[in-house]
Amino acid sequence: MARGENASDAVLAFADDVRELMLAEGPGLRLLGTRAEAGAVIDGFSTRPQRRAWNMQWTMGSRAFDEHAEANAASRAFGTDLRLVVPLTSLRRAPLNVHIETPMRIGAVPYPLLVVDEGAFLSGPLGTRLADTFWAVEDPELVERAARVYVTVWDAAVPLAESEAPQPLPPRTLQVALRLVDGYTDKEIAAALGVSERTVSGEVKRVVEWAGARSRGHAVALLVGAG
Amino acid sequence: MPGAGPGGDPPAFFRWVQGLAVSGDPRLTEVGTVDELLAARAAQVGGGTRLSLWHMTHLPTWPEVRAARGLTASSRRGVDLRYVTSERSLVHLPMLSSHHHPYLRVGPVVGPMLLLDHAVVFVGAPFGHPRTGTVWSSTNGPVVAEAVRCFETAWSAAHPAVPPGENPPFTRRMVDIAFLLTEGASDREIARRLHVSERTVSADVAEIVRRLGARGRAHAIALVGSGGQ
Repeated sequence: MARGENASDAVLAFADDVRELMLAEGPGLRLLGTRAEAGAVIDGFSTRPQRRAWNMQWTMGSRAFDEHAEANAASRAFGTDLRLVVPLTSLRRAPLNVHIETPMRIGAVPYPLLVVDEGAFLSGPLGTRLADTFWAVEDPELVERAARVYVTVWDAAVPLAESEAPQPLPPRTLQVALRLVDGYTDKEIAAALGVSERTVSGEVKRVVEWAGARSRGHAVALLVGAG
Repeated sequence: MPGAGPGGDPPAFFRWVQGLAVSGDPRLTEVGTVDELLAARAAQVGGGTRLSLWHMTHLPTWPEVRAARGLTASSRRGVDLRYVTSERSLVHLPMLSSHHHPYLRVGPVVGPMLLLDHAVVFVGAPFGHPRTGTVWSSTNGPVVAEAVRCFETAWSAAHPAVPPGENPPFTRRMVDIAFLLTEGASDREIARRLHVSERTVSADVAEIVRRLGARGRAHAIALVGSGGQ
């Protein structure tokens, strides 16, 4: 494919260059290890002041909502410019993630990428021996290119409120939904939230309706993307 | 085919064929969404299969796994069934290895592909693409031949999800029950659909809860669909 100067070509060219560097163990990139090993390194960034933390993902687990809550609290204290772009399919599969407090846009995501101040993080190329590895981009020029890729994707995406994604639940209904997914009974939820069981069963009904489910169990399935 | 062709390298194959698909190349025909293909055409697609049904997905969702059941259910015995997925899928979907036993392998997978009889290939748009979820098919000889080579490479690089000679973690009936549980069915409905007693269903559900390490029925449903992730 011939490459012009347009934005999506730059997005693809960056991925191609990075892929070649990974496979050749070239300079400018550092292998962090497996997903789990890299998680610890990346989490370290959320506890240090960062000017930016720009994230784009293909999919998010149904628990991403919780994970982001912790990282966000720290980042907000630092005044970090937090951004997240996900495809609509990701929110359809894990609808509770519309409650992630990070400013979120819905759009096409060419590949998962996280850009912070002095670095960027991405996974190894799919379908290769490096598919389950994570890498830190350390070369300043490559980091700058990663940031430009991110801005291209961000600019082409639309804010959550203007998208076709489900709209957020009221706070108490959300609290009930989260406990429902964790397998708590109405009684346990009532005790945890300090409200009556009757209030909880009303909220459960709302959750079932919001999820478009036909029963309590079906709502759980739809909220975790199993329905 | 531009250049030397992907030559059996899966990343190169997917880049090439997905490029053809999204650019409207006449060698590929748009057939709709994954769900439409798997649900509405499953019987037709699977029923017409005589020799082989090769399938790979990087991270299938539980609804996709459910929708694809028709493909294998309607296949005759003696069909060469193969399924390749990533290691992460086994964590994400704890019942996957039991459902696709004994023909599931785990290894690097680039994108979704379904190959029937070495005659027709179905391929999806890349992850994160605005048309993710859309499926194209091709019966073009060279395209199908490249798909076969791509699949063979992925298959040889993968290893069995359940070591040979070992049993998968869940029984066939537990998997059937799990599909119905995640549709929101009650024990009574499940019993009727599977032609077993309600008591049997309750005992199996309790065993599913135990094997998943779940707190209860609802939690088990959540774990079946996402492994708690």
